Amino acid sequence: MKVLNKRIFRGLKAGWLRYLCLFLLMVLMISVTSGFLVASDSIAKLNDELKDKGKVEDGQITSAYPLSDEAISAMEALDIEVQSMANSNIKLTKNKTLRVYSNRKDINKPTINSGRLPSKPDEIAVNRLYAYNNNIKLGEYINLDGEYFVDGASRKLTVVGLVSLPDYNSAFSKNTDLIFNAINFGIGIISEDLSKELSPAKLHYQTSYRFLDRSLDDNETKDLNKKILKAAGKDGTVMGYIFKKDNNGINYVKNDMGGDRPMMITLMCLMILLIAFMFGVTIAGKVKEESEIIGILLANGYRKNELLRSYIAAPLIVTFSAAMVGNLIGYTLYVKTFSDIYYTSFDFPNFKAFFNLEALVITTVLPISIILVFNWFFIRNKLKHSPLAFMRKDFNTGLKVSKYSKMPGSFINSFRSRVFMANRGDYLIIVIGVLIISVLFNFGLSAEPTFDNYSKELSKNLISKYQYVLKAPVPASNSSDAEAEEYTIAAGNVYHKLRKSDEDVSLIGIKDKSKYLKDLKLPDRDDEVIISKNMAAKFRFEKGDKVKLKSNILDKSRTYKIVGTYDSSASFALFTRQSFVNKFINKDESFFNGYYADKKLDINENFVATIIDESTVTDVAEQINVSVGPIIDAFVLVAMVFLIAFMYVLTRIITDKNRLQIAYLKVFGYRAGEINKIYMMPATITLIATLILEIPLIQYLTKELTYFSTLKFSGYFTMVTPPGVIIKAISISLGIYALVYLIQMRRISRMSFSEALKNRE
Amino acid sequence: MFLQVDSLSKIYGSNDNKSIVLNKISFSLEKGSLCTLLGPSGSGKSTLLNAIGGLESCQEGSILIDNTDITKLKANPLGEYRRNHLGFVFQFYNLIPDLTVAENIQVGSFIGKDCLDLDTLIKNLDLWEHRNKFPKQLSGGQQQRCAIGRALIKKPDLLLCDEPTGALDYKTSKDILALIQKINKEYKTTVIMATHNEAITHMADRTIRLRDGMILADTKNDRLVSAKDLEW
Repeated sequence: MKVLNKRIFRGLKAGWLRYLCLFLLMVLMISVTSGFLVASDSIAKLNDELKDKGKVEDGQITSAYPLSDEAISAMEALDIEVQSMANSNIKLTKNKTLRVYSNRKDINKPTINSGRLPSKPDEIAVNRLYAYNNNIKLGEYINLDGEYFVDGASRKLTVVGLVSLPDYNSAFSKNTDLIFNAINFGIGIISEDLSKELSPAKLHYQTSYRFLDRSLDDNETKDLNKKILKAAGKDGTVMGYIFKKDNNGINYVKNDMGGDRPMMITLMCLMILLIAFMFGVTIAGKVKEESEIIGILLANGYRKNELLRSYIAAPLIVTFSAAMVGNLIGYTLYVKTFSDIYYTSFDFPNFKAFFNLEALVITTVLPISIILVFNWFFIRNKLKHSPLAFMRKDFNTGLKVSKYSKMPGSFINSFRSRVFMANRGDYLIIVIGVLIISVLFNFGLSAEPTFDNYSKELSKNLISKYQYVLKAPVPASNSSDAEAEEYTIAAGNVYHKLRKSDEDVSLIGIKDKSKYLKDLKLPDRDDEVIISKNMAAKFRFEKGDKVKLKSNILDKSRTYKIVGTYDSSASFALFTRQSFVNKFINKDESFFNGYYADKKLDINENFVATIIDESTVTDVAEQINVSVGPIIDAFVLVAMVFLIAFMYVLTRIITDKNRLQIAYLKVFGYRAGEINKIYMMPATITLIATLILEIPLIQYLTKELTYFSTLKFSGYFTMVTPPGVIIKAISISLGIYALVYLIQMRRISRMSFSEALKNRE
Repeated sequence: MFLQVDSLSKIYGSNDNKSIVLNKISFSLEKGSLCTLLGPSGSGKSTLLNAIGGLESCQEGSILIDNTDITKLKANPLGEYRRNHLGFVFQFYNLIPDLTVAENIQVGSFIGKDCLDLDTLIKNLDLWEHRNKFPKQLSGGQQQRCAIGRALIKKPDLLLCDEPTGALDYKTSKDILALIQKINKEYKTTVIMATHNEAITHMADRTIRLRDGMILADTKNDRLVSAKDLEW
């Protein structure tokens, strides 16, 4: 074995460029994955730390007025801590809102990123990310308009601290928002003294609570939450509640990272499998080239496993080295890159990387195992022949004898088809590899038009220019002028099987002959619903399916039959008759809690829970681009690097395998162009055919990838791939291939034919 | 003269490791002659053949073929020279394993200008029954006949054969030699054949004996023997 081992390093040296390419590809994949895993796992730890140390709430109740002492006492009797979190949404500019809270003492305590907490009435601390996105530095001033204060006087506050808040590390201004908005929405913490000066008319009354017993299971938590709601509801002022598990401001980041993690590991495994294929065909070529030597060694008593080990050693050495270097680069370089991506979307305590054994195992043991197992079986199959068969090169290659043609044109074609057949395994890998890489390209390049389209669809599919959700059924003085139409809305959840969590949906009761939903044919039965197009797409529901709606507020659920879809609504909604919804929420026939209107309504704003208009949806694309953009760019870049290396290695494997034949042709006087036509053209044809014929498959897979990668968002993204994007993706691929083709042409023209002939002898 | 080799020298290595493979080789050949290069292993016959074939460069001397000094040609013109004027036959056939017999011969005709008829040639080579087989399905002699067909189909001016019978048995070797002799006579193709088998020299009208890169003797053969009658 020692003699064979000497060949391993000589082999590595002889094929250094090819091994270097494969090594670099693996380093790229492993370092990116390692960096991502270490960054996301470290952030997950910091996130837990933020929640634990900050004593994050277990739930919150919103009420029209402050909860009475009696209600609070009843709540506290349930073995919980309770704290008022009254806040005011202060508009700093037309688009920018700062939600101002008084300093928190017991629950949802801030973690300081820099500076300190405010202690005087003229001081404020803001959340780190809002300050970063709006270029606010310590010592600078923030002006708050006088309309938010009892005395009507504006305030000029000095920023004394940048903080992260356990209940807002994703900046959701409303829990029902489609996505957080860390650019235009921030949190401010002011001193207790200043908070007393906030205008009660502008205050939103929130009461947060935290269980004293930290060991409750899901059922106990559910029961306790119910009891708390009941206790708080004694006043009759409760308007809503959010339990911790449903609070996006608390949980979104964890779900977000949770979704990225398997995607990243899957991507790495796919790429490593592709590299395993490349190693496999390289070794298979070597086995074919050295078949006489293998035959002689086997005849002399060497075991197949000994030969197998010697052939498989080089890929394992390369993989092991790549895993080491990849992890080193991952820890030193990509951890920062990926943590920056998270820190530009969410608030956490200041970053520090934690050693992560699991990430190390995933990025070392997994690639080595994939390369080992795949190549073990692949090469063992190549070594299955008898010693004599090896010595005679007598393998069944699957070539079929066919009649010959004397036409010169058809000769080149048949020569090419022979080359294609002889190297069909390699071309199959090109097809698979190009498919995977094209999906990444397509995904990356389609992201921007997809997000833009999403934003446009949201605006286009607003049912009315203004959609009001009310806290109580109140009249609007200008309702006829604004063509206001009453409706009933009930919040609920539907379980998403693939996402394995509840998704917020609305049950909407519409009036007969609605002005705003003219095309909607309302169901006649109370157990039937029409669902919005996006909900059907996200949940993969079809007409005739059953949908189970749960209402935590009412503590009941109901299963409906889907009898149709409604195209002009981007939200997740179940539509039915208003009377059916009123019955479901135990209200009388005349009840309503919302208006559709084409003009702004004149309503007492104390009774308005939400207004949905165009301005509320236009921020979505901006935030998605900020938070997802860098990852998408990384996708495209990784795909480009991968395509260059992949095509180079594959075409090199093909030309190396045919080195001898190319040498013969050169000896006979074949021109470089003719040799390229025979040996490079099949790869060119395969690539072009793959790029064109696989368009529908690439589109389908990209659509699925988009679906699964955006599953975590509270919306449905229809993948949009304009023809320009397809042309761009194909052009990039062809451009990269043209570069590889030129390199290979140069190699072929420089191949030493006399050397090849000598080797043969 | 069709071929004129003048003071051709080829040296591998330098200083202490210097090895003179060809040492001031000079000879000339008339068109249509059959010449054998005879010598033991390492005498320089394959190197000389490769140099005439434009596959090896030499440090000194010249090789004139139809008044063109091929040692002065660069890679591309040299390729064109091989394409238009030369045919090669090697000891180990060097057939393309993925092509059938007919296709391997077509490898030659594809780059030729005024080629022999493929079917006739395949029949003349006694390969008609095997035309759709792949090299591995053929015997050594059949493979070598295929290789000769590939070299011959484009009607080369000069056929270079490097130990064409080196891997064949006695009877098959004689068949192959008879074929080469027939080609030389019928198509007036100039043939240079490297061999270590002295018996083969009897079928050639010229023999150049080589040892250690030098010409030991350059003799003409007035009493040609048919390849079929050769014995060793």
